[in-house]
Amino acid sequence: MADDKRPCLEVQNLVVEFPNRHGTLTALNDVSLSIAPGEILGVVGESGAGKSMTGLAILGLLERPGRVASGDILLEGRSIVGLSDNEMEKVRGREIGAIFQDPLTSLNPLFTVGSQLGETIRQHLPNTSKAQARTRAIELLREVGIPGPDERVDHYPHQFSGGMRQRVVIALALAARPKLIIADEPTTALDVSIQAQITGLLRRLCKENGTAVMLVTHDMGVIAETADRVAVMYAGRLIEIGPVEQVLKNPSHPYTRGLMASIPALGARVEKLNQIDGAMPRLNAIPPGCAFNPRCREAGPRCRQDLPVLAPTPAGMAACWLHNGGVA
Amino acid sequence: MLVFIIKKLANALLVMLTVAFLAFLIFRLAGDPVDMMSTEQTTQADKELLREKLGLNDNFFVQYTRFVANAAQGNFGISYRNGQEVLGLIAERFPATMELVIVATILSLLIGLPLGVLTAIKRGAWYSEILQFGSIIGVSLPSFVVGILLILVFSVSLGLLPAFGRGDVVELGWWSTGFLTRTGLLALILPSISLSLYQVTLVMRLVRAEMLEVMRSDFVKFARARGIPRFRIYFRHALRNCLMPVVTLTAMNIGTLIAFALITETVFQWPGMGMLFIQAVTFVDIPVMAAYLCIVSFIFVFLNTMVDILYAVIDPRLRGAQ
Repeated sequence: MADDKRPCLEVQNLVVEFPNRHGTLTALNDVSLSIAPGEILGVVGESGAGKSMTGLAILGLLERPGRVASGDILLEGRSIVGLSDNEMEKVRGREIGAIFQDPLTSLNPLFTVGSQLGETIRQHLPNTSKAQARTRAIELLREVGIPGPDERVDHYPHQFSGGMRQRVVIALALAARPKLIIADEPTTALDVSIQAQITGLLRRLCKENGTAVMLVTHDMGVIAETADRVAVMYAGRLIEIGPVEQVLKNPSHPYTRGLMASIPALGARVEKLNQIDGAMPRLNAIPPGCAFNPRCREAGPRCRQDLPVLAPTPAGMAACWLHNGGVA
Repeated sequence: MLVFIIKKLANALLVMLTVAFLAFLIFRLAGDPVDMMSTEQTTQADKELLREKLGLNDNFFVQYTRFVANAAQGNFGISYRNGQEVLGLIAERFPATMELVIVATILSLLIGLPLGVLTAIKRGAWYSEILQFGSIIGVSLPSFVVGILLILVFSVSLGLLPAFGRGDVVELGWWSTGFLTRTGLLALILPSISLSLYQVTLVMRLVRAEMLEVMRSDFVKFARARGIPRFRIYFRHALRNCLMPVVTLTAMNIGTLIAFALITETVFQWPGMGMLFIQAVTFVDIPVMAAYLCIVSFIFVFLNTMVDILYAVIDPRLRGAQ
């Protein structure tokens, strides 16, 4: 991790709330993270932990009534929280690209991939002619490894396979050369053999272009292969963050350890798969103290009262009393 | 694509033959045509002669084939009431109805589409709620009530627009058009509004429902993530994905409008096919009724076939389909 580089993205104490009839749900609570140019940050956690929500908040695409209640999101030092819709339209696609989970439904079925690429290119680079946009679209398709791009540019999404469609989606995300890409479960809907190709492609393109990536996934394997650093989320909070090798080898937070232990090792046939007992609490029923304490085997009295904050650990930072003065 | 079109045409042909069969049955079941055409002075011999001349002694199948062959050439026989060629009678009235229906259809799309998009993207805004509420009234008000109200306000009270008739028409070959004269255009306003009101609300509600559905889809979310401006997303990406049911509805509506036109035409004394049909019913003028049935069905079938082909134009996924 090069500390001298100015971060591409900084999220500071982000709180996202969903007000509803019965009160306010806090979907993201005090989330802080940063990504350097060219760096890939993996964000893992269970469904509902807030990983996708973080991505949507950065893109300014929170669904109403969700809103950023406090905290800040800085893109190369510039705050993008509270920008108007018109201003955000210039940020999305141009400065932050996005890749979503399902390539089968991310593309508009009624337009050729070339027209969707051209549309994005001309939207963000208004001085581009139609012919130039087309040339650029073909170039992009070639870049993401689609064979015969001269022909494929005029094809409709349904004429591509799932993996090829996700390549098109990546080409669309890269169309205006954004500084940051939010990739939300980009490989989850794909075959395992295609997954590796797509993550490899994503990694290569980002390293080549110096694009920062926030890779949201629940797949530890994808994180291990692709990410430089990893952030673990639980019940709307960031609970551990650090370089991917250290965190995977030597996880500090009991939840991260549980996640690692639940990955079955190749070749080892076990009677019972390791799992973390219980389920993540609902957002309206988060226990006092550490949100993980009801499921944690190492929890002590302090974990049930006081909320742990991120503190340095051998692997990075973790929000756990085990690493910050003990659980008693 | 060619196979697709041929299949659709074969389908259409089959439907038309069935309709012709039903129209033909009306002739057979609604009493003896010879009795209807004869008076008290007609002798039995004259009746036999007429029966032979009309081919009524041939067997059922031969008669049906003759009917279809004649109908295909536009020959629907002679009106019982005034002895004129049925086709001529209809051709005289057809332009009036079609112009009314075309204007009403254009109105329903021109007003219904944007209102549908508006109420979908501004869901919850006060004007959307008012439009939604208003559309319920539009759907539930019978068109003759709307017509009478319009006449009351704009013709009787304000005296701005004519209450009945077509105004002056210009003959273009056999087609008489009201589009080219001032009185013709003025005369179109009230009937077309009254005819289209229901369709406007229908289109609006359909587009709204479809838009809400499409706006939730992933590709809209992804288009937003690509930084595509909202209005482009609404009107290019989302609306086009809503068009399929709108095309179906519109095409069906043109058929329905012709049927509804019957009521509107009566209210506004519009000299169209609907009026002709009403008169035919009153006088049990079976050839006119049968021809009306065949022609209206033909319009329905024709529109349906066009819709099937239009689908393939809108949605590339259907082009390869057999």
